[in-house]
Amino acid sequence: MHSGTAEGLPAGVTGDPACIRETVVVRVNFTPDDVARTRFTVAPAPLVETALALVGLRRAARARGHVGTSSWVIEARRAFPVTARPLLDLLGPRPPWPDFFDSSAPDIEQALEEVRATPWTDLRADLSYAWADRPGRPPTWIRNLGDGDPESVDLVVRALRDLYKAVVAPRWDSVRIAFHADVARRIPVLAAGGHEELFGTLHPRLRWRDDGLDRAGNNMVCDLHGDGLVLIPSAFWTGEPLFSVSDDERRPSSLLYAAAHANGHTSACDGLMADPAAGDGLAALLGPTRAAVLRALAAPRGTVELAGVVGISPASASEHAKVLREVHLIDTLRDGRAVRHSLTALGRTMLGQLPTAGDRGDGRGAV
Amino acid sequence: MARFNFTSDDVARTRFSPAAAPLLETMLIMAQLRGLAAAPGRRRADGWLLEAQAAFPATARPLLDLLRPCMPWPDFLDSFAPDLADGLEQVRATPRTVLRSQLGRDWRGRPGRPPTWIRNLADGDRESVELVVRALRDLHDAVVEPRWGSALVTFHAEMARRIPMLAAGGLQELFGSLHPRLRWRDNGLDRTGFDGEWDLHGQGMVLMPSAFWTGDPMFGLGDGGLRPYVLVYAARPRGLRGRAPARDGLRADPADGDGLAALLGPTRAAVLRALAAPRGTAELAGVVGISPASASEHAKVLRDVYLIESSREGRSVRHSLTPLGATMLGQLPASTAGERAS
Repeated sequence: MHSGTAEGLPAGVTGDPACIRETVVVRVNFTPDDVARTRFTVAPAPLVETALALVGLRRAARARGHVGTSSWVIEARRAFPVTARPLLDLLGPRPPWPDFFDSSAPDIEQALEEVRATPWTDLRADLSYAWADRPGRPPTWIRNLGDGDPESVDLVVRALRDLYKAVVAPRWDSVRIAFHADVARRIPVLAAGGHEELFGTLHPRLRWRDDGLDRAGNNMVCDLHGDGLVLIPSAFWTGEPLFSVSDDERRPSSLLYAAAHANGHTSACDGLMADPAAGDGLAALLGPTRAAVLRALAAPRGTVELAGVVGISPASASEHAKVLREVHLIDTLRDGRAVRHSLTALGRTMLGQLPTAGDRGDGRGAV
Repeated sequence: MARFNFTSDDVARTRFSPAAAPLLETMLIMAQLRGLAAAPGRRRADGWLLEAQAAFPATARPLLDLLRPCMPWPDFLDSFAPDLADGLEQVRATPRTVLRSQLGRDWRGRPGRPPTWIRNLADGDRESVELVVRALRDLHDAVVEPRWGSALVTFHAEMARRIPMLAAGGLQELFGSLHPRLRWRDNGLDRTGFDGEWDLHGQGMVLMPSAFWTGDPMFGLGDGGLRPYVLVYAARPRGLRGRAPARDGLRADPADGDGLAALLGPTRAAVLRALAAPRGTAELAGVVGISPASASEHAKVLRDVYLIESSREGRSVRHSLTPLGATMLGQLPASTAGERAS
């Protein structure tokens, strides 16, 4: 995962500083189309975070005593399910990792379905690539997995699901918050400074230079193929940025990096809490009713429907909508004699959602 | 079709203008006034434009000599400075050679001979330059200044709407959403409606939404790589979508209530505004006129929704806007250099 396909990163690439001896530069060449298609992913991906949580646990185990161990690591070790142990065979402590974890699906079951549907030829290529630099021979069950053995596939799917449930799901609110906080920090940088500034602020090792992105740390050059790069802030990942360069158009190339935590932690991962006693920040800011109105408009609604959903009078709903409209958190569209309220992009960001494809064309015909 | 070829560097350097430009808006109003004069009654003019026509100052009349009925106009009048005085200073500082070549080119396509004062202007005559500067300033003061508050609101609302589109869809989708005449295709930007082909010379393009402009997107050219190209487009008017053009929101002296105060309450809105400059808790309390305990409480609420962040400095705490908070206040971060990871 995030280590590339056949042209992926060489061994010895990891976030572990001890493994980075050379400062050769990796270079990703962008066509103008690639830059124009570079965008943030819209939501954190549970399967990717699950795999990275496992890697984080392994790295913490190796670094024991060197660094303060995050509280989530201590809790996760305790909660680690026995059924997830096969993943320790599958995911080495350092990249490359098999690509089939690389699902950006926002729902874990959907992502696991994609894993289950991976053709065995892909599994085999993937596994032999991921094992190429590891010592010894892969265990029998992994060789079976490479043959597409359904039982082995089920083993992996179950391991991932159980690990997700035990370690990631309890912290999912924190993961989402870290994701959205990171994107909220980044996008004004993108707007005011362009991609050049954005890349310069993602990680000290990244720098835009001469039509491409340089990354200190290893020696490989690759091209995007006009499909751009998807930027993925990760809550569980603490290491260096990970590229995944893909030839497969179903799976765009991506750059995964450690999400910055909004509240002063060095990385989001230190803030990962199970069941955060977060309280309802939006309600504290706007008052519970107005916060409920804003949340209710995650789906566009008329005034009467809005009033019904929130449980207030239509007059009151209309008044709240007016206040939210004045500060551009929602938009109101006249629809015959009725009106329809919906979130603006700013409102979505405030609620912690990026706009979906459906909203984006709406500037058309504005004049 | 007009075509702008981007290198990858050009795309990576394409960004929004950090602020609205008063001199540019003045010129764009002038363009619409000329359009109105050229075709009276052909289209229903917006109320604000008729008001602007009535307010047109006598001292701005030299602009009617200088500017032909339709654009393009001489480039030396294009300034994207966020401050009027800076914009006028740029006009004043135009070298004589530039004045001469731009005015010469402009008059070659116009009937008759230029009036004496314009010939003097082309010679760099100080008095003529001052005449132009005064005309621009007076026009600005008469028609732009009274509406500047709503123009800023429109500008910032436009940012708030477009920036998340850029994040989720990339520049390709953003360009496609700005105007039907614009489309990203094959490593460049197409603009239907006129012909030409330009390279951006690695300077990228600056996107400049205009509150007053209602026409098709226009480009400020980059002087062969000396300045970035600027794409000026009509900001989507605020107000009820689907209803008639809300540029009537640009009426002078709008009873512009304080939307932020209505949303957050006056004190919390004042706290957020005060943090446009980073401050410690005690200073914040002093500026807003509340107790430190109350300032600290408001800061916590704002921090919990990522509108501000607080960093510890020794024994004290310093609060500052996050980019989301800045967007909420309608400012882009002035400089992002400080954000660079070190």
